[in-house]
Amino acid sequence: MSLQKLSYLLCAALAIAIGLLLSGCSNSDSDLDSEVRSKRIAVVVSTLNNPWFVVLAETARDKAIELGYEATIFDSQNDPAKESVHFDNLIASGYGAVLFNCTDAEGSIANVRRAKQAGIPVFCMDREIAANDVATSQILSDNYSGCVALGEYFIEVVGEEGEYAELLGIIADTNTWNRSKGFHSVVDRFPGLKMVAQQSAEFDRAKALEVLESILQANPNIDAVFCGNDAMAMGAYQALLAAGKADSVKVFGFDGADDVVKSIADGKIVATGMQFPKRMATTSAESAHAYLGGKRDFEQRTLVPVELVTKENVSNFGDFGRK
Amino acid sequence: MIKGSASSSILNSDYARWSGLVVMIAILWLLLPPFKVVSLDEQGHIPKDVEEVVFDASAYVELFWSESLAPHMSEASDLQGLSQTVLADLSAAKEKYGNQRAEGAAVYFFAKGEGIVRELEGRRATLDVDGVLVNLLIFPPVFGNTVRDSTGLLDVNDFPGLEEFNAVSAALNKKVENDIMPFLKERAQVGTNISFVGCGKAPRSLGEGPALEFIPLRTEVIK
Repeated sequence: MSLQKLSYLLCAALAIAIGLLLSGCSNSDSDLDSEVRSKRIAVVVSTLNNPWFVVLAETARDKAIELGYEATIFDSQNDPAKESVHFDNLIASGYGAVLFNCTDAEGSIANVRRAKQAGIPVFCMDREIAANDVATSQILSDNYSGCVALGEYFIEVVGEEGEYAELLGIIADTNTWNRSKGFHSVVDRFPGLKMVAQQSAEFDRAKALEVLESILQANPNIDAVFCGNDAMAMGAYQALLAAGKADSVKVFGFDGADDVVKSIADGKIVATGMQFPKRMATTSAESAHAYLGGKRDFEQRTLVPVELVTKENVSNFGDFGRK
Repeated sequence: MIKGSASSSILNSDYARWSGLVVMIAILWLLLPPFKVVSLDEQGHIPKDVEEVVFDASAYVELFWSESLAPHMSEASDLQGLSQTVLADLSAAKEKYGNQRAEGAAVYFFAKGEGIVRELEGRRATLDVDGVLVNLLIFPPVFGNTVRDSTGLLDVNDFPGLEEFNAVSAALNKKVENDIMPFLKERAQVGTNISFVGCGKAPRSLGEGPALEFIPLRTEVIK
């Protein structure tokens, strides 16, 4: 190939590259103001390995379908890398909106930003991302308040003296810390109550069983366990059953999962905080529908109240909500 | 000679094209650099581009209290009217006097008035407000979001995130414990007439005992 031809080819390649670069730097606002791109909505959920998230995802999908969209659930399997691939696919496939339950409050920001730059609005459900200028809105549980109420009930039931353990959720999830801080804002005010162990079981039932088994070996005399979600509460309860301590150690969870609500009614697990996954999912789908219909003014964060579920009021709750 | 002229003009033309290409690449590199070179700091870390602004909840609360909350205390509901209405019709009281952030959320009252201390028990003083008994919390601890949410002055979207919003709640509670309650602790006695501005959560239903409990935000002993 002659030098002349080579130089022409290189110039052409450079021109194409410049063109591609410039087309990628579009004004995100004008993209978002563009007409409806698609009648397809993506539901990207952190995991389907937990019934609570299954309810969240399926409710979001079903509501989107009811509103006239095609909706697909994408399971990130608690893996930020998988979540990123889902966003690659849904951006490339031209989805019109994303109902999103993130894997990582910080790490997921980049995915939401990419969607925004592609003109796809993102509505966060349940889990917060740590940015105010990328998601169109975030529908979140008021976990802190819920765990303040749980903490007050903990004092009532366990008393002002004793030893307890705490099982934390996924460290990168702000919900883990909102719940823990809410709980500790109450319980730490009672110096007679001593936290003998605090460990992450990653919101996972099997992991919680394992973690509590080893906590019990080092601390056989605990009076209570506070678990950052209901899956862990069930795992903790199983560990206590196996150790013959289910009657002496009080278990507290958070989520409002059906199995824990039944367990509370049976006098096993003591209490949980009912989040309302169906409410959050429905609101997110409706927000996406409103956005695609032209609405643009959304509150960045909306807090959905959490209600304390105890043996006294458990008959009011079931199926991931109020009866 | 003709051959020599032709080859040198081809060479010149090629030279111009290649030079042009190099110049274009250089311009692109300057405008859209593919990477950035930064020096590591003394600890061997990559320095942050922007200094992280750490939210100081205590400082925020001090400013909020003096500039927003204190002036707003004159807008508090009348305690006597609120108490009477609660006893007569709790739902009507919530409707008329309550602050609720969202559907399903707790309803809060923000009220001012005075009452005579009838009883001191534990962390509470029971006040007689024109025949209606209400509780006033006079000792720590203060829990929850009552102080933050009762006035309607603070909204989650005014903050960088939930963590900061919740930190403000804790800081407000601490301020009440440190700056307001010590006054009451020293002066509240049975028979004392106390004037206060306070906030409280509306009960779900009325039971035995005082219908309302308030966290004090400002207090004064009248006699």
